[in-house]
Amino acid sequence: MGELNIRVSQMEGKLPVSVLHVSGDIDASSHQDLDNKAIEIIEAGAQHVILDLTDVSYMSSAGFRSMHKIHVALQASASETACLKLLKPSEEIRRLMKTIGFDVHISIYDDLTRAVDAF
Amino acid sequence: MGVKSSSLKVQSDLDNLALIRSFIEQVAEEIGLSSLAISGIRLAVDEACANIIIHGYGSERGDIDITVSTGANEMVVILDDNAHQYDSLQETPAISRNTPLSDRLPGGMGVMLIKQNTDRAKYLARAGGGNRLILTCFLGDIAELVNSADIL
Repeated sequence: MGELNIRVSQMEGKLPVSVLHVSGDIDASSHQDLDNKAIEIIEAGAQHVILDLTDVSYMSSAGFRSMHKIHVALQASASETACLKLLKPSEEIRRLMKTIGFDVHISIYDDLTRAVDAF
Repeated sequence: MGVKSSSLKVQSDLDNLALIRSFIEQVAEEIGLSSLAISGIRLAVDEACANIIIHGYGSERGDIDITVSTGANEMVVILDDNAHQYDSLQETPAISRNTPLSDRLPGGMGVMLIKQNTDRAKYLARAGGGNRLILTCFLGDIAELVNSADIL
């Protein structure tokens, strides 16, 4: 299977934030890595999650299904502030976000500090 | 300009998606497609092949034959497989932008992206068994003509 490199970092803004830094192509062969890591941190208590796509040059619908899964898992938590935000997706990923209507529901940031402070 | 063809045969393995994307990207670059058009057809072919591997062949293994033909007015990608016959292009849910993601089913986005990123997507059940998908992108003047007609 294709492999993603995923690193998790913790940030402190008004609220504690978990950042998933992903590098590689997110496609049908690799998205399971992202699903597993995201569910792992959510089950461990993460409620405010940023998906850092700075080093993701390609994403297919498999990546958007992962995004959907993470978003729904966070929405299902007891916290009203729990949600997913995106950091620095490529122009192509932004275009696809609009095509499938995800841009209405998931906020996009170009600066990590601003993304953390937005929770 | 005559019709030029390139082909690639791969096994139905998700690990081959990167190879398939590279092949499509290379052919599209050679004919001078815009970066937007290259991204679009690369994505459409990736989505279609992922569907063939996951939903067509499933746990079985088989081949996918990819043929790209380019002429003066269009780039045509033909995907042939020997999986069980099914029209994956029909599985397109209506998506409303304002529907909360928690109320949406996660499936169907791939087919939507295939249709959104090609000028024409057609399914054929092959007479001897298996499936054929034909993905077409119009080039140059004809693309502008068709797209402006869509807007009107």
